Amino acid sequence: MRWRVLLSILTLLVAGATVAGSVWWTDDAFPFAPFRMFSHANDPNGVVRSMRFEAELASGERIRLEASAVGLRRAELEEQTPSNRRVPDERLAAIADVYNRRHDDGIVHLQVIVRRVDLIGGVPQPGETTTVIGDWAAPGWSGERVEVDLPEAGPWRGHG
Amino acid sequence: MADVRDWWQAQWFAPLPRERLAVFSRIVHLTVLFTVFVTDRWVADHAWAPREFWQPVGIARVLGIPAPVPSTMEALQVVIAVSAVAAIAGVGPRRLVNAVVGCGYLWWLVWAFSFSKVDHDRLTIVVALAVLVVVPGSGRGRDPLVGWALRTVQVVFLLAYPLSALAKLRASGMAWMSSAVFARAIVRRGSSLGDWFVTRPALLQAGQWLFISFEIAAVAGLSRRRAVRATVLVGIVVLHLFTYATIGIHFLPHTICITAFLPLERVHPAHVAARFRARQVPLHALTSLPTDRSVG
Repeated sequence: MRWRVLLSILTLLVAGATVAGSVWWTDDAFPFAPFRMFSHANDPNGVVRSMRFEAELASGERIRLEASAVGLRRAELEEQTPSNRRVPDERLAAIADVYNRRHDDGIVHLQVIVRRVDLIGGVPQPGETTTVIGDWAAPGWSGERVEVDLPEAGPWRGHG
Repeated sequence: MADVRDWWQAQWFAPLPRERLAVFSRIVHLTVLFTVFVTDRWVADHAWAPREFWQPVGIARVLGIPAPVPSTMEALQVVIAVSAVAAIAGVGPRRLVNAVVGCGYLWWLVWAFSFSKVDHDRLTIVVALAVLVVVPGSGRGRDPLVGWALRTVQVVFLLAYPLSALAKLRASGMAWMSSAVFARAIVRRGSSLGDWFVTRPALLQAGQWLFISFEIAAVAGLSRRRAVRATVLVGIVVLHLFTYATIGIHFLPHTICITAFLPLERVHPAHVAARFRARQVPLHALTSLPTDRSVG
């Protein structure tokens, strides 16, 4: 009988932690994180922002740098890159460094571009706008740069 | 008091076939292998991701788990592969093998989610792996411990739905239902079916109401009435198929645990062999047939 009591306590602990995760805790409490996939509503008359990294390689080729090319998921790269702040040069240099270790044709210029699509009544409208929020170039690169006039992004804000 | 105890016993310790848990154990361990070596390859890539992006979750900080590097990431995959294959093959001490798979997979998930994004489809399989350490799923016949193990998985599986409804209301309030959250997901992840829906915002909003209402109602799946349970489970399958068709997300480590509700013992090798034998002509009938030699 004693094992049934022990298992009942274990059950209550697991169920309690699962509920507590969704009621009070954040993702930091993994594996008892809240089930918050798609929980953030967005205004049907608001905007949808997405981010892309564009790179120029030493060969002159321009590529769209996927997060996976630097060992990350798109959501991880975007989560730690606030769309309304300037991306620090050191951060872009670290990203370029990881890419360049694995490729002969390395990155010499890297930009972070935010794409904005307006919604009206929940329907995406034509005519998207783009803003450069980060611009890094390897020493000696002489192409055209974009001056980013935004406050610099601070440390990651943590799990909300 | 006795009534409460009886109710609790019936809810949590109904004797179920050990063969059911044995099959469930194999399904869970196969899912571990499938996710680690097929769908989650991005986790292995974290070994060489920029170190600036390492943001350890609470459990990693408490246990002092360091960021992965290529050699430790490879070692972990070897441990998971060997232990999960041993668990599926039934080789070695069950409880120990299951514990190694459980710890290995949890470690893998810590490395997966310590780069600032936590996926929310892993709790059920983590709990399933944990209960398989307590009740390893071997032997024959009915056992109340098997009932406890499978019931625990069922409860966590079903809790995910009302709790994700709660998380939506917590994050966004009632505005969630009339927001453009489905439209946003489709714009970002797109599919041909999604593109058809995205131009019909009223339909998407109705879908959001339906979605959250069903999530809350899903707790009825804990009912011991077969018809209610079956209706909820079919609804859950439809909900996941719809999500996969529109935005391409399958939540496999969670959804596979729906098998904890099924009479899996029917596909257990011992039962399949018994059924096969039952269909054969009895052996004594064969031996009593006259043969050429006996006639001659």
